[in-house]
Amino acid sequence: MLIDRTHRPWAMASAAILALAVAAYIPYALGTRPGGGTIPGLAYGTVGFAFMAFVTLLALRKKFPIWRIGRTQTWMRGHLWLGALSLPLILLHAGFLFGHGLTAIMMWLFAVVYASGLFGAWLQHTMPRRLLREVPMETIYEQLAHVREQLLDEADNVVADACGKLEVTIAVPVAASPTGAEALATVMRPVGSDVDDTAPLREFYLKEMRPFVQAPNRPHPLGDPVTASGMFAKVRALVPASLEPAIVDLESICEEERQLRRQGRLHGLLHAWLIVHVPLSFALMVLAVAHIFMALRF
Amino acid sequence: MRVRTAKKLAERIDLYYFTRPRGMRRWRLLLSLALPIAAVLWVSVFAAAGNRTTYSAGPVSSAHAFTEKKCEACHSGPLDPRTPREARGSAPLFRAHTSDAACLTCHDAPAHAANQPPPPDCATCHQEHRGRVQLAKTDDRFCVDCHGDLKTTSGEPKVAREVGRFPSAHPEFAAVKAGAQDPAHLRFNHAVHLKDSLRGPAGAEKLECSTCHKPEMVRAATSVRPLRTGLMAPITYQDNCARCHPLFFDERIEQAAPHARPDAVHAFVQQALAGYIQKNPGDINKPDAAFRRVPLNFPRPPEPPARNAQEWVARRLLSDERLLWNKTCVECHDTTTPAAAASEPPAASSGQSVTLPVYAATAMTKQWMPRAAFDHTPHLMVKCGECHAAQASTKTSDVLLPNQSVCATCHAPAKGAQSQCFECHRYHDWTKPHPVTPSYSLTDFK
Repeated sequence: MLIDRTHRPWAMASAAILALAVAAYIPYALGTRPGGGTIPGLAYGTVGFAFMAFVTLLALRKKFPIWRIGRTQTWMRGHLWLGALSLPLILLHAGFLFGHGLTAIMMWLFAVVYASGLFGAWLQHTMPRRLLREVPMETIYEQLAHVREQLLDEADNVVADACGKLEVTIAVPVAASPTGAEALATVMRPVGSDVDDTAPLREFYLKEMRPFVQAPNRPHPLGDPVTASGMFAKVRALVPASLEPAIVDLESICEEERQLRRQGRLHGLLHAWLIVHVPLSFALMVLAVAHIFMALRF
Repeated sequence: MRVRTAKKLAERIDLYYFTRPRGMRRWRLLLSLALPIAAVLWVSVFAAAGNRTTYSAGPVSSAHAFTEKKCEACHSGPLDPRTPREARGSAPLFRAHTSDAACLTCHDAPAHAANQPPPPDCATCHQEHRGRVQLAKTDDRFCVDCHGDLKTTSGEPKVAREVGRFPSAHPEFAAVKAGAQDPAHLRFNHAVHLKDSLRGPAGAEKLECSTCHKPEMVRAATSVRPLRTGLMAPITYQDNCARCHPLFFDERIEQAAPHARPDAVHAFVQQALAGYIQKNPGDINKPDAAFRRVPLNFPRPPEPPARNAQEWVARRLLSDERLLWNKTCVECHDTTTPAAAASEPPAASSGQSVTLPVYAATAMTKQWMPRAAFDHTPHLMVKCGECHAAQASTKTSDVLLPNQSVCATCHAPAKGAQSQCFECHRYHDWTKPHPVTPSYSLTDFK
């Protein structure tokens, strides 16, 4: 979510709450030793936990988008700003001490959750623009593998149309090349083809391009646009001009594959923090409930 | 030629892709379930094992370290038999806060003052789980909470009504407030005694504070080394004055009079004179050349020699005691002659009615701050004169105690030395201790 001018009311309200909390804390801390067990400490803890609970409920809100409990955008803004307030309030609750045992674990968890949240907010502020700029052929992230399969089918068809039908026989790993690009190349052979002038294209496709599309996690020379352009130029020189449309299509498929790879990387960067942020948030809430119960008991 | 139309792109998408989490979504989901479950298991395992140390707010004090894993030693719930009956009904069943009863199982805690409002719980001032600290070192705020605006259940408070933190909000020491005087009935001039060259028994000498003022030591039954009380030992004539100020009363007698009550001195002098004349009967008829004439500028005609030893002793006794009572003793002591003194029985040997002087008790103050505990021991490295202005004191009534600004030279926030209330004051009145009934066995702490 972009933090723009529409966030101003949230930002101002959050700043006011923080200022109020700090202003109340100063005389409290000067007059007594701050701690979670004092009345002001309990008040900070209660408000801080309420904010934590609210920001955690965003996950539930996303699970049930049709529930009429406020717009998701409002929930998201609340998640950002109340989440940002929760750590200062909890620090005021704890008197800026990390405590001992469970409380220390919780504070470290909270620090990680908070830091990952800040990192995520920054990524979400910058990464979508970069994605838009660098990946015009963007697709749904979860569909990358599915789209890649279809790209492979499309490339197979292009080569088959140009060079004759290709039949997949067995999948045997080819001996590793220095680049590793051929490591997972599927051994394919033309069926009843005796046209020799298409052989360089077929060979290029089978040995270079197909492994490139098939194994997106392996580095490959075709992953670099300049190198790819040079490789396609060599193929062009070896095949008749009638195969030019097929080569253009294959180049386009290679470019799409490069973009899919880039999308995968950027998306990973954009969303990997959630793997830290979300599970740790849930664990933190479980421990917070245990902490509240035991603190009130003892 | 390859054409990417919206329709073609849409056809590539699996419309049910979101029903099957893949990649990071799947990991996020798995971890979102696994980590909270792990947290619940962790908490449950500790609960099942009865181990609650993980919920401890911090290490307990040094004195309670042996109960660190025995939370129930202090945290007693409403069902605990140590919890006062009146507190059982009001507290929720799940609560296990510390109670005064739990503290009093092991500790005595005499009340602070008889007319104080209901005191707070023990744990209000003695806060545990703050690390290996000393619980007796309580925070100033707990004292100032009451003493900032002191209220009593009856009568006026015996101390200032408004007392804050030392030194900024602490009232001046009562002993050095304006008009305060040393109540001792004694004549002593510190300035004279601290002069550079005094005449001592062995010639000129220079007295130091420590010549007379020495730390008071007590020998505890269990200690090999004597312990310092922190106070200065009381000044006595015998220890501190006699060396330079012997109570000679007659040039014929080598012995000095004892520093004792006047009747004892009278008896001693009389006995000494009788003994002398018994050994030297020839002195009876000698004219009393050494008859003291006080003052000397009023010469008296010489008296005829004594007719017998008894008369000689009576004359000498009168003369010597005049010297003692009117010059030697009053050098230091205030004398009064109450009416009761006139009715005292005459000295047995003289056969005459003798009126002996009565000296007021010296009443030297041993402890100037009865509500505070000052210990000289940690201050021994500071020159005495830095705190006690004895060099300039010419009167006994001068109070040589430093005022609080002198203490605040070191004892103030950011000055290094402690300036908290507990440094000088004690809350519990340890003059009224109570016995503690043992209730634990060693196995309780295994």
